Amino acid sequence: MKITVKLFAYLRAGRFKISSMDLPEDCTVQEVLEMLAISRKEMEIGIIMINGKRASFNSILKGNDTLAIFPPVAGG
Amino acid sequence: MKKKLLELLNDSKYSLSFSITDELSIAGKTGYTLNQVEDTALERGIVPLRYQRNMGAINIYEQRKLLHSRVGVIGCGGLGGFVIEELARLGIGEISAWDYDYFQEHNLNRQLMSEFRLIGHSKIEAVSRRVRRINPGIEFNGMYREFNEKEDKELLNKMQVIVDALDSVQARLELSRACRNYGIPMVHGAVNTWYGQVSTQFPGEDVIEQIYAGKEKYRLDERSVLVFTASLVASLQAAEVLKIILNRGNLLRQKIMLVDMLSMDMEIIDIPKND
Repeated sequence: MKITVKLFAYLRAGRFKISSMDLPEDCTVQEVLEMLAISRKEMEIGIIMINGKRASFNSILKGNDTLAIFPPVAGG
Repeated sequence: MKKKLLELLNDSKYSLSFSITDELSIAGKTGYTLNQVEDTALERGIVPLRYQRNMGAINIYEQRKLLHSRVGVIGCGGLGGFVIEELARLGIGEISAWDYDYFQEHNLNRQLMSEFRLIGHSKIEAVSRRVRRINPGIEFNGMYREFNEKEDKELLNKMQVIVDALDSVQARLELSRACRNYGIPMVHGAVNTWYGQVSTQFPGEDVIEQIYAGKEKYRLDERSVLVFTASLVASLQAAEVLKIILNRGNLLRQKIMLVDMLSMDMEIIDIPKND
């Protein structure tokens, strides 16, 4: 199945802003993060959204979903 | 006294040009503060020269509303310095600011108020001096310590808007709670390297918790911030403050604006309330 992944802020560094990913069925958000080599530190994610709705590490993705991942930017 | 003030303001030349020198002279003669002189002037349709170029974008009633407004800024670093500069130039009548820190050399890349000669000096002191120099009509309360909900009860009670210019997750969550307890809208901003975010949270809303709850210990190793990221996010925050006070335009409520200065894009994401 194909999904769209959108990354924000410093998660984009060395990765992408938006990309289509081909995934096995029933893939979780956690597995996508691992595929993208988003590190443990970066994984203290601010917000995860699937199709504009709040999701979590364990959420299961479906074909054509859009997954958006925001890190907790906190500097001032 | 008021009669004398009104008499002095009656001079028709002031409707064309009302300078800071005129204001100081009237304040000296009447014993009124600059803030009071300006208030009476604006009430009578006289615009102080330094607000003349605000007119058009906002009107004279709105300028007077700003003069009566009270805004708190928590943190005087990268974001706070620019936010306070802009609020002072806009003509916010009373600004209160908190910061326990002093300037260090690594602040010079981005913190508006930092200067070589001020290294080792408190940020609050520098901000206070700057505000006086930009806009002597403003009342500025500088707190050389951390913001604290219990200790700052009195100021919180009169605050109309609070600006989050903090640099830690824990402090933001505490501020969000304080704003909720006191019914104050909070304008959130945060920056890192090329990236920034802005959001406005009214009492009863929960964007700050949605972003940060459970991440109190979070601290990114990368502490880099570029000056334009800080000034841009601070400007967006100042615009939100202005609109909250004037009740105009659109606010970033239950939304977050994400800015990426490297790709040059801005995106607004809806963050629906968590029920």
